[in-house]
Amino acid sequence: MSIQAIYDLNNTKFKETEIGLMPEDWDSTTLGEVVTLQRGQDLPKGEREEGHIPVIGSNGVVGYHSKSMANGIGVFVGRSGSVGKVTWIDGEYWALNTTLWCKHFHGNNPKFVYFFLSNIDLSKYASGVSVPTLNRNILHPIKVGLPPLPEQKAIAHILSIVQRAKEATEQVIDATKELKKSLMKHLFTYGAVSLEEAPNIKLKETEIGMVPEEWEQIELSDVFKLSSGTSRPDDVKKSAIGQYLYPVYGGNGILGYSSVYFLEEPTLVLGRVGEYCGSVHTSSGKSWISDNALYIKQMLSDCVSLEFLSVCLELLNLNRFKKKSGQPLITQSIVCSKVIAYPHKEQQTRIIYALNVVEKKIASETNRLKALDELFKTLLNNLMTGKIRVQNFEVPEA
Amino acid sequence: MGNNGTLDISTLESWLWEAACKIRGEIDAPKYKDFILPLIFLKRLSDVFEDELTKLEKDYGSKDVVEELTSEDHSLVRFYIPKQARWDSIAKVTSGIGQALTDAVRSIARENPKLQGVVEIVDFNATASGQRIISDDKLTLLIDTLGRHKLGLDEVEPDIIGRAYEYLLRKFAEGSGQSAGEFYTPREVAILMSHILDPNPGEEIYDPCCGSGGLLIKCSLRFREKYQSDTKVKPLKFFGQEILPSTFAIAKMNSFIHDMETEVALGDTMNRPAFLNNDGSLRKFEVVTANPMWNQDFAQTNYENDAYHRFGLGYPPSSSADWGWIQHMYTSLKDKGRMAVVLDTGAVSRGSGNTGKNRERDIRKEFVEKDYVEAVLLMPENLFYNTTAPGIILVINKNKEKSGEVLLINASKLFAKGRPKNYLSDEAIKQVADIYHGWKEEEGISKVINKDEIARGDYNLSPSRYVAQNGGEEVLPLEEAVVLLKEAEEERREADESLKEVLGMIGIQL
Repeated sequence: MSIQAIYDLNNTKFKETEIGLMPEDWDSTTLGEVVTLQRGQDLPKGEREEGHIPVIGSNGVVGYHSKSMANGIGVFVGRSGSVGKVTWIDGEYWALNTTLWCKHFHGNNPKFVYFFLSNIDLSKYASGVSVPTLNRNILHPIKVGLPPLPEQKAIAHILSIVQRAKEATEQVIDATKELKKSLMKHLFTYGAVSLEEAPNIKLKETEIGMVPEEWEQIELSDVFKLSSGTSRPDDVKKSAIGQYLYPVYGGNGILGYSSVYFLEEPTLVLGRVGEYCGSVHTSSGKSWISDNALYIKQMLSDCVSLEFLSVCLELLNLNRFKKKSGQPLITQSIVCSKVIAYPHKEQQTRIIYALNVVEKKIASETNRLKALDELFKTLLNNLMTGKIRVQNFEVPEA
Repeated sequence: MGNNGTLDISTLESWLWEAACKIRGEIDAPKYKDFILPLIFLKRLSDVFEDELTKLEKDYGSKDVVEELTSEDHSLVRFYIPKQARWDSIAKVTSGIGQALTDAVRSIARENPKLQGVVEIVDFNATASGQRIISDDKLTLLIDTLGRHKLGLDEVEPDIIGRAYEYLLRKFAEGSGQSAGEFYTPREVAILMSHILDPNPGEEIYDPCCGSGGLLIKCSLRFREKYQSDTKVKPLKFFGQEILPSTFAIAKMNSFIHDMETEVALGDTMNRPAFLNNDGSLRKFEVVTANPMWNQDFAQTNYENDAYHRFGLGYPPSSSADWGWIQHMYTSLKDKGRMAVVLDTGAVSRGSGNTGKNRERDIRKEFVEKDYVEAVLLMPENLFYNTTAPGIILVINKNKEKSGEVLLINASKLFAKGRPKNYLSDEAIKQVADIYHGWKEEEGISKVINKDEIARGDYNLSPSRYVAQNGGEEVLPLEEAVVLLKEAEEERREADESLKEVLGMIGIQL
């Protein structure tokens, strides 16, 4: 998405204020004149009753209660904990004392106020050494520039629509991830067949679930030889820059980049130690494997392709076999004792292809979401500083 | 054969299936169901009619007199079969049997308005790409096999032949793959629904997408089971609508064979519901039951231009008409009416958990908030005919006893393994029906939840969510995951259009 924004600088007259330039018709005022913030009320967990009224903490909805303290529209700012996080609730609510809630909007548009507050980095106003907390007496005097009400409504409307577009794309990503799970289950129960053919496929019961009768089974000790990695090099950097080009794999994928490597060929890497042990990653070329990971040193059979094997290992969910005493870890013998089922190579290819198509969609939708996020941030900033004016914008009636 | 020359059910079933397979074997039998079922029906009609003539002979003395009388006055008999349409005449035809049969059924329809649109829909002489769909030779084979046993009232009681007819339908469904779901609901699901709905004397029962009529028939059987042949009890009335002409014909024949009075209408319920009051409004019923096709895609225009005010609680998405069917059925209920509908599991869960709007979740929310939903029952996997996905039965009751509460039943483990499909045992059916009527909570099977809990779960009514079975991550059936994605993309398209519009107004091009 490329954005060609038209800046309205020629038609807008700006005025100098203590906080810099702002449009002439905007009000140079303080935050306390825009909205009156009030500390929320205490509600210990024990006193919370079963209900459906959302209870708002610094990070948003944290539970439900049977009573509300106010009705209508709520805008909340995290006071302690998620300091400065802004939440919007349409309807009844109970605000905890870890939040500041907007008691009076002083005639300003509430949705606008929500976006307005999101645009200010409130966390830098937190005071207190042990637990940084926001105090309304420190926030109210903050100097701000406030657009007139019609422009507030227009700004709120535009930003809501962008937010809605973001939410809708998030929904698509979630649905596609669900589809990937369902597709994996379908492909590994019936094979690369259509939904129509699936009921006709004869299945057999195996220790890993139902698979097509014609699939073979093999123990992983006959498929590959594993090896543990070696302690990580000293020069690991966060990103691949300059000579530090070679990925270093740890207990959960790439932990950094180094100037040295010891593996040349593509292989599979399994997390060995840590919370994510059992996780599966693919190293596509020169890389370093740390001793928190296992890797395939040698393939003993060519019955399965590397990609197909990778999905099989994912499906095994090796993490559930971890040894829990002390540090969670999986051992080579745990992995190699497992059995996988596989079809002939051509079907393996088709299965991998189908999954890759869905993966690609997830990736492209994720990029789209990033772009929408950037768009939102840019618009938020530009609208709230008057760089883009919408004073003559027609807002449709709700 | 049993005693007194009566046919027992298994003999009847295997004989009829053998006949059906005569055309091209077991695999292809389902393709010919639209010829086989009318022929069996014709034989039954013919045999019952011959018996009626024989009885009348005793009153009037002579066969010729009876022939003449009934031919003039059809009201003397339940229905009138002209001589050349009777089985013994048909069996004697040596050439051109296809044409003879088509002529025969047409003549029956002419003489019996009640059977119009039922028997004569089939053309035994039909061709496709210049070739006869079913040859005279094969028809002769079929007729020979069917001629083996008599299908009169003494030989086969109405519910026996009804069962055999349903058995054939099930065998056809098993072999039909995708199209089976269009006409047949698994027998035990229909029985379970009839127990849940438990019809009372004088009630009117409606199925807006009745297929072969199975759900209505099981209600009738349940009623007869309760009241036996008590003539003081006011009988039920049945109403059904079906969009496919050949299936519509099967529904009428099926009804007739089960000795039921059913008004079946042909047509598209969504666009032109057939049962209306004099003022043009939707006719309402005490009981509504249905198994519509799951996740149909209808254009928004279907809902936008609705003359019957059915979709006031929200327009369903284009990717799934499930909540369109539910709203149609709900609007067809009388003030204290109740309904049970079979749908995919997504109908009670899709959209929950999304921030922002979601059409299906929002309609479901309305139904829950207005306290229409009484129960949701989760069925096992691999029970239904055109899918391996499990389904749910949604029960809506305008006369709920337990206000503010919803009963969730997780029956997904109560199945018996069968080939090709799983099935519900009689015990399982009884167990689930008892739980429903007793409003019971049973560990691992059922739970009662209230509106607050439902609101907290964002209106997800999936029984598996509240009734713990064995943990493990839940993976949606593949068809459901696809519908979910389609819906998310439709919502996203709308959001994108608004975005494009609004950005355009402030001079930003995407």
